[in-house]
Order: sequence, then structure tokens, then C-alpha cells
Amino acid sequence: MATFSISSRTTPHHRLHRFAVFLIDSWEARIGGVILLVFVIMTVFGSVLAPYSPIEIAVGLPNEGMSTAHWLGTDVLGRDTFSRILCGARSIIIVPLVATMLAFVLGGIFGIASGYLGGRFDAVGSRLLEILLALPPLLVVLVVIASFGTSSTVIIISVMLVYSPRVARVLRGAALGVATKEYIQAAQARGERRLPILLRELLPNISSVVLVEFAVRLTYAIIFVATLNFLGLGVQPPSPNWGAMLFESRVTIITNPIATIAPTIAISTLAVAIGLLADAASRRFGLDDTSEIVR
Amino acid sequence: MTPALTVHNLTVGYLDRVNTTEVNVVVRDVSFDLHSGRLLGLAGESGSGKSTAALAAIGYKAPGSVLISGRSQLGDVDLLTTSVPDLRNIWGGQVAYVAQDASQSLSPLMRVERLLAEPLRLHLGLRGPALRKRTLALLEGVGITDPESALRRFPYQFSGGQQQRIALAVAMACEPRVLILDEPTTGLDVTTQAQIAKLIDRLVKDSGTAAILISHDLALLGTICDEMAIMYAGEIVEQAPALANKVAPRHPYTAALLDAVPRVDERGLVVGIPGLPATTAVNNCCAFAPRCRFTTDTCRAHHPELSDYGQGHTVRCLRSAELGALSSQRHPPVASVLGSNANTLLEIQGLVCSYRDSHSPPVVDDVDIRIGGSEIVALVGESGSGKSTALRAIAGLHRPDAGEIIYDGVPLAAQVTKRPRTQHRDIQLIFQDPHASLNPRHTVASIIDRPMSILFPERSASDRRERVYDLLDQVRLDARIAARYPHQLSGGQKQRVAIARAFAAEPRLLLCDEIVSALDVSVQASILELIAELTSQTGTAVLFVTHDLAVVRAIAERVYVMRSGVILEEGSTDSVFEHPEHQYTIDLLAAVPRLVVVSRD
Amino acid sequence: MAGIIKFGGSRLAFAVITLMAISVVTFLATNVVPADPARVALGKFATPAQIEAYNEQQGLEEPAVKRYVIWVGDAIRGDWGTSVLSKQQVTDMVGPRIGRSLILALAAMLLAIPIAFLLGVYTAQRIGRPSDLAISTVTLVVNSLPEFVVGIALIFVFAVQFGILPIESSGASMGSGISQIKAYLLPMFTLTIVLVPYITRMVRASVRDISSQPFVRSAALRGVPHRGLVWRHVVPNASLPVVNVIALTMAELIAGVVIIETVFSFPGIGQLLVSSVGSKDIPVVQIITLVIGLGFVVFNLLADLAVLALNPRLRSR
Repeated sequence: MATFSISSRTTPHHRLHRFAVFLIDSWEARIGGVILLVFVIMTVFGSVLAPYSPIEIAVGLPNEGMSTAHWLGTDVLGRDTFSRILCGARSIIIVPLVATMLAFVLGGIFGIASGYLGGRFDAVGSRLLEILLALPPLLVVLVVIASFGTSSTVIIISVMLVYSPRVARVLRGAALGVATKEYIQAAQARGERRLPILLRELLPNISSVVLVEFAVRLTYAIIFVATLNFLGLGVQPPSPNWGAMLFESRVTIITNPIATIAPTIAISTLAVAIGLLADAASRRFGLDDTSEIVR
Repeated sequence: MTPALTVHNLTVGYLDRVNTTEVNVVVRDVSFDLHSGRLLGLAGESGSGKSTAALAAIGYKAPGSVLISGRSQLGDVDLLTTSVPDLRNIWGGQVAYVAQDASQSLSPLMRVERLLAEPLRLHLGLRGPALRKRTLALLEGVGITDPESALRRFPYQFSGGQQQRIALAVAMACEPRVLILDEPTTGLDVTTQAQIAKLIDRLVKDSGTAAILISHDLALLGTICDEMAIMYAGEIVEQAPALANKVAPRHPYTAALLDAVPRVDERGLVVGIPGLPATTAVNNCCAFAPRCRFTTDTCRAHHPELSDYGQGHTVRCLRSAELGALSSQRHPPVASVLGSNANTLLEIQGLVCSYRDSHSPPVVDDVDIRIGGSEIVALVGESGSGKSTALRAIAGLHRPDAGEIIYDGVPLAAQVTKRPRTQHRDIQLIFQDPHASLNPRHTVASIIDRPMSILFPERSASDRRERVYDLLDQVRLDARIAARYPHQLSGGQKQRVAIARAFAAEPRLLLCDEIVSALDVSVQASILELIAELTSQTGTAVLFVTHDLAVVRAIAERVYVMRSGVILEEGSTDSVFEHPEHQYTIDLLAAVPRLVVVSRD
Repeated sequence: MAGIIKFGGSRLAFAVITLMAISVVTFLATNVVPADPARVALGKFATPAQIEAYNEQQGLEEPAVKRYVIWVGDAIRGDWGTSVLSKQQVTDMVGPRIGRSLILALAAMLLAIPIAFLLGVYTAQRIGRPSDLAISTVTLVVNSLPEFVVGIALIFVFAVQFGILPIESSGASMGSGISQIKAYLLPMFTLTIVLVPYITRMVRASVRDISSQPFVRSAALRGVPHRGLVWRHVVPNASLPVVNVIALTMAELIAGVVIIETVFSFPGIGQLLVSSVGSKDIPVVQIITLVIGLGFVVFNLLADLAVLALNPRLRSR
């Protein structure tokens, strides 16, 4: 009985173990994990590893093909593509990550409160959600950018705005599913207050949904922001960004294909890696994949 | 006369989920004959293999199942060696199957006409007017009024009982020689259940089909079957003709099961079977040995074969010859403790409850209930009668529209959060579904400790820890369970944890919401025993909400009968059950199947 | 019948509300929230005279609500104003492009839905087998890819490597018959490839769920042959959630059209929207947003009609 402790909540050991099993168990998670690891290393050390400055013009001839000096050639302005790819990792993740986290703060709090409290708050709240969800995200973001320009702040805020109702919807559903469980009623019946019930009984039971939804949402945010960059509406030149690199080099697709192919592969690999992880996680945690995920 | 279906030495396993090279045997050496116009009852608790055996017998291979051996002879065809394409010509034609829940077993997007026409087209090639005539006749045959309009409707537009009638009509469409009925009355209200049972009886007799009726309800089987077989751990342990509702058990499991079944016509507490039901077949000992009160070393070393006692009575027990017919071990009727009724603990006056968003009439309408100091009071009603809502109002989880709930002389606040801590301690609630009432993220110890840490803040952690072990002991759970999570426990164990959690608060009034209806008979009986024992030790009063009249008879001293939000009748359990006054109570009691257990053949 | 009216009515009301929400968001973002909308629209180098003229044209002295009503009224009447950039009539700029975008979207949808259904039903019956694993992995990977990546990959294969299709699609507006059709093909295939995996996954999951329902086993035990089980008992029930999913992919479709038109320089409203956003041509952005919003709402209503046709419970409630 030495191992037994009365105050043991969800033992962290227990959950870590589950996560480890999940990573080792499925090939999707393994592949996704390895790619993501490479990507994280690029984000942290990319600028140290890069052989040239990513923004310095004419480190080589313009539109040079692959060579030992420039592994992935150079772009229209003679910048080193390999260096730009290495350094671009950070910019492709920061904006979506911040936007997704903010969307989780705003949408998450609203969604969980709505699902848990129920009643009139939820009735009005879910109507509002329904309308917000009906707005096509790209349309809204484009209109905002048209008015307020393309700074990172504008993109973060607009992506947060279109994603928070989507986060709210998923977490509301999860909270609602748990809130009607009898162990919640048992806690109410012994006179417990809302906050302790929320923290002790409800949140631990929706944590896996939160985790999976975060992964899925982040994937979509990365794609979304990369798309904006590709459309020329995101990061402004000369900062290195995979989407923006595509936007700039697309005109030379026939003469200098590698300048287009390199960022295309970089974006695809990252998106697929996170997609694989999210898919494996949602199956691991037994989430229903028919529950429609709204992009 | 040759049987319509002869099943011989049927053995079926399931691939192990973890180690897929292993096979767990769930049906072993099952043999039975089905005769035309006769009904064989197949009884057993969940996991006994009864459904698997019946489905395997007609050649159906469930995903992951493996047929190990056996024959199933329909005429000169062995269904077990027939290919699936050939079986499709037999299924729905010569062999029909009716599943448990008709609302789940009829394709929801097909009109009744198409559902009925499908087997008729496939197997009899009927078309046009002949087809329509036949579908109408089938619906009439199962007692659907206005079959013309019924044909045009979808299954969901019918009540549960009518849906089961339609499912029976679909099954009988091609006049099958063999009919498999898999728990066809489970989940229906008791009066509907009686009607469906009667219909099944008539259909089998009239059509001359050979039928097998699978159920966990021994009394139901006893009343309509010609023969009964009891399964345990994948084997038939006893098979006997059922004559005039009388059964004379010779196998200790059958006897124990009969002692565990509460009966409306007999006072007294049921007896649970210790331990958990085995779900896989056992090789070198008697599968029931760990739970049997007659176990000897021989039982643990040898596997019993079926022995024949004449008149079609076979028993799989090493000691059955020496033990002879077994007598009941049921507790003698408890004399109501007089005086427990005298002081009033809880009094409800004019309680009215409704749901805010519906415009329908109140679900609880002007209800008065009184509970004495240490009395066990039952509130019985069919689904939708409002009994659970009334209970939730007492617990402070549903705000009543009107009425007073007076506890110990003081009116209770409508909302549970407005009540003082002493009342939180005093009134405890246990729920129906043990899976949903324990938080999957907490250990058993943490679950039982929680009410103490909230309601007795003055207690030290070590005091509480000691108390957790006391409580586990009181609910007959091993101390090792303390460190486990709910998903590692069986349904019965979970319900014991829920009971321990309720008693951790040292309540004076226990509110039980259908707490045994999700459990198997043997487990249900031991939970009832436990509740009776704990409450008599602690003097706790109980309000026991249930739909099961037999359970009421087993445990309650007084009973309130409720329908559509209104109390129709109340009184001492004995007087209500023996001299019911309201027509509804009379009908309910008449619908419950009764079984007479005799101790001599 | 009452059910149809009730359901249809509530969906119609919701469509109107959605359209209003889109117009309000557009109006707020372009006309109310910015401190100086004229400056936003005309850029840093506009002269005070230009700004005054713009303010007058837009009626910016009036209160916001009144401006909104006037603006919506003008849009409905077809008075769409003039482009800030090209001084052209917005009607002339947007009008001819609507049809081209609509054809692109419809063709892709009509191609994607049957393909996705067949793939989904096929894989759902072979869960865990090599063919299912292969198709599921491909759909998962493609589903993760951004639209523009798919577009560029197709350009690379069909235009650069094989040279059988044009590298960009401006031919859709001017070229002759064959070249016009060719201009549509790559954007259409790209859009289809983007849509198929998502719907396929939903169909597969839905068919798999329905297949394990008790009524399917009951039907099998009635002797219904495999084909009948799949197409009579499983697929109709599995389609119900899928139609809702298809309605949800409508937003996806719009994003896809906008992005893919830009990738291929396809002369539709999506490409005009992106370039107008880049050049801050506010009147054009406003109108295109409304037009796309209207299309979105209409598509959603059609999906609702399909649900209504498929689900008897909605009809008779």
C-alpha cells in the first residue's frame, strides 16, 4: 500500500505513459514525430545552421540551379534558397502558433463555460456560435486585411477571430458531454462549487479533446497563414517565409524549378507531419472521426 | 419426430484482443434440439455465451469469432459448413432472427412496406398484388392495427412494442422453420413485455416454427418456454423441460440464480452469488466452482460432463447425483421493524416539477411522499413516470415548480448549493449507471475520499485514509482496488464503489436511482443485500427508485406507485402487492411473469 | 408537410441571418472600425480633395447604420459603385467573372462528390486491408496539403513536364473553344483533389459506423446479399451525416476557389478578390464578399434540401 496516496489526482505518470505508448504504437505518429522534431530543430537553430544570410541579395547569381555552393540554388534576387528555407521555419510557425493559442484562450473559455453552465447562457451562446461558424474564414480574413493591412498583428488577430468559434464549438461539445455525466451530478449533490467541479471533475476528462483539437487547429492555422503568405498578403519581403518564397519564385517555375519546389516540399512535409500526428492522436484518444472538424 | 434443428457440440471462440494468436473459448460443447412448434429458452447472465451460441448455430460468424467445432443440422444441411452465399438463401427464409432492440434492428430509412417486402422478394420471389397481400396479412398477424397505413410509415413512427411486432412480422415473413429470438423483450415496459411474450408464444404455436428464446429473465422463459437451458461460462449447465411455470433446479448455479432473482409474489431478500461471472470456458475444473457453495476439491480438479436424470433433464455437475434437488437459500422475510416508521425524516408535500423548455404537462404533479427514520421506501413506475425527477428534486438537482420538501422538520432549499453542509452529508445519492457515476480520471481511493474531504474538513488525511479502507471492506471490496481506476473494475464493483462513496458521507437518507437495473441478476442481488445490510447497520433511511416491481418486493417496506407524474397508490409493500387497489397496479402486477420453484421433480 | 415548412423555414431564416452577418462583418471591417476609411481605401498618397470626394461618394458623414442600409440597398439594386484603382464600374469588373467561378466550383463539386463516395464506400468495406491503408494514407496526406501546393504540383506535372495543359488559365476569358476548356481543366482538377480526401474520409467513417449497427446484422440475417446490404441499408443511412459535412466543406470550396484562381491566374472573382485586397480596392472587395457570401448561402440551402429529401424524420416531424 506504499504506492497509494489519497490525494492522487490523474497521476502524471499515467498520462505520460499513455502519450508515450501513443507515440510508439502508430507509424503515423512516429513519422510525424520525427519530421516535427527536425522542424523544431530548424526553428531553434535554423539561423545558426544557415550557410548564408537569408535576406542578403546576390550571394550568388540570380536563379542559379543546385550547386555545392548553393544546395538548393538561388532565387530571382540571388538569395540562397537553402538558407531561406532554414530560417523560414520560425516565421511559418510563430504567427499560427500565437493565433491558435489566443483562439484557445478566447474560444476555449467561452466554449467550456457554455457547455458546462448550460441554460440560457449556452442557448444564446450557441446561437451566436452558429452564426459565427457560418462565416467563411478566408473571406473574413481577406476583408480584414484589405482594411487593416498585412502586419503580423492583423493576421494573428484575424486568424484568432475566425478560429475561436471553431475551438469553442468543439470544446463546448466536449464539456457538454462530460457535464451531464453522473459524477458531475454527484459532486453537485455533495454541495461542491462550480469552480472545483470544473477543475477536478470536468477538465481532466476533456484534456485529450483539447490536445487533439489544438494539434488539428494548429495544422489548419499553419496552412492558412502559409496560404496568406503565398497570396502575397502575409509576411512582407524580404523576410524568409516558405509561403512568400513560393509567391516570389512562382514566375520562374520553368526556368528555376528548384526555387519553387524546395519551399513547396518544406510546407507539405510540415503540414503532413502535423496531420499524421493529429490523426493518430484522435484515434488514440478514441475521438470520433465523424465529428465534423470545421476548418 | 425429427427436430427442425439439431445443434451438436458447438464450440466457438473469439480471437484475443491483445494476443491475436490466442482464442478465448466462449461457447463450449453446446448441444440442443429445436422442435417444430416448441420454444426453447436459453438463459444466462451477460457473457455466458448465449447469444453467441444461438447466432453461431445458424452459421453467423461474428467479426473476430472462430468456429472451433460442431454441427448444426437443418434438414440435411449442416449450417456450420455452408458457405455464406448459400446461407443467404437460408437466412430470412428457413431461418429467421429477431434482435433485442427493434428500434436498432430495423433499417431506419426504409418504410415498413419495404422492410417486409425484402425477404418476401428475396426468398419467395413475390411481386405485385401477391406481395402486398402478404405484407398486410403479416402485419395483421402480429396485431398491428390499420396495417394499410402502417405499411407507409417508417419504423421510428411506432412505439417500442409495435416496432418489435413489426420485427417479428419481418422474421415470420417466409414462414421460417427455425426462429432465433435474441432478448426480444428486454428494454420494454413490463406490460408491453407481457404482450410481446404472448405474441411470441402464439406465433410459435400457430406457425409450427421451432424457436429459441434467449433471455436473462428466468421467469419470462419459465412462463412461455417448453424447455429451458441455463448457460454458464459458455456451457449449458442444466437443461430441463419447463412445465406449468415450475422449475426444480439440480445445478447449484441454477439454484443460486433462482435465489438471486427477486419475485413479486414472494417476500424476502434475494441472495447474491459471490464473485464475478466467468466469461470464458474452463477446461480442467468446474467453471462455477469458485462461486459455488458445494465446491469440493474434486470440483476444482475435474471438468463435469452432462449427466442425464431422465425426462430430458440434464445437469453438468459432479455432485448433482449426491446433492439431489436443491432447496432455496433465500432469506426469510424480514419482519418490518416496527417503530422505524414512527418519526418522519423526510416529507414531501405537493411537489410539482417540469422541464423549462417543454410546454408539456409537469412530469411530477402534486406528489406527496413521506419517509420514516430508518425506513426503506420504494418509488416504482415505468419509464417516463417522473420518479427520477422527483428524486432529483429531493437531491436539489432539479428545481421544483411548487411544493415543499421538509427534511427533519426543516424545509430544504431548492438548490443544493443553498443547503448547509450537514444536509449535504445527510442526503446522499447513488445513480443507475455505475460507469458514468465514477470519474474515470480518479482512483477509487480518491473517489471515496472526496466526500469526506469536502464534508468533514476537520478530519486528517490519515483518518480519512483509514476510513477509505473501512468502507471498501464494508462494501466487500479488496483493499487493492483502492489504487485502481474505474475502467479497471466490473460494473458490480463500480456500483460498490459508488455505494462506499455515498456511505463515506455518513448519510441519514440514501437516494437510490435505479441502482441495480444495469446489473446482472447475481450482481444485482448482492448489491441489494449490501444496501439492506448497510442501512440496517447504520439506520439510514432509503428512497429506492426503480421500475422493477420484483426488486421493490425484495427490499422495500413501503411503496409508492407512480404513473405520469402522479402517485396512484401507496402502502406497505405486502398490502400493495397482495391487495392492489388501483387498476394500474393490478395490471402491472399481472404483467410480471412468475416462477414457481419446487424442490422435488 | 408541417415538418418541411418548419425545417425549411428555419434553414431559410438562418441563411438570411448568415448573409446579413457576412455583410455586417464586411461593412464593419471596411467602413466603420477604421478611423479613416477613406485613407484606408485610397492609400497614403491620396490628396485631401480625393479623400473628400471619396467620403462624399461613400456618404461617410452619415451615421453608420444609415450608411449600412444605403450600402446594402445599393448592392441589391446592382449599383455596385466604381473601383478606386481602375475607376471602372465594379459591375463590369465582377459581373463576367461570376459565371466562370461558378462553373469552376460546380464542376469540381460534381466531380468530387461521386469520386469521394465511391472511394469512401470501397475503403470502408476493406478496413485494415492494404487497399484501404493505401487509400487512407493518400487521403490523409493530401488532406493535409495546402491548396496552392496541390496546384503547383499539378502545374509542374501537366504544364511544365508534359506541357499538355496551359501553365496559367487566363485563356478562360479570351481564348477560343478548346483553349478555353483547357484553361478550366487544371484549376478544376486541383479543386477536386483538394475536396475529395476530406469527403472520402467522412464517407469512410460514416459507412464504417453504420456497418456496425445492429440493423445491418439483422438485414444480413434476413439473407440480404452483400450488394443490397451496402447500397440499400448502409449507404443511405451513412449519407445523412455526409451531406451535412458536404455543406460544411462549402467554406472550404470557397477558400479553394479563391486560392486556386490565384495560383492559375484564372479570371474569376476569387483572383480579383485577392488582387483587390492587395491593392486595397475596397468597393471591389466589398461587392465580391457579398457575391461569394450569397453563393455560399445558396449552396448551403441546397445541402439542407438534400438532407430534407433523405431524412424522413425531418419531413414528418
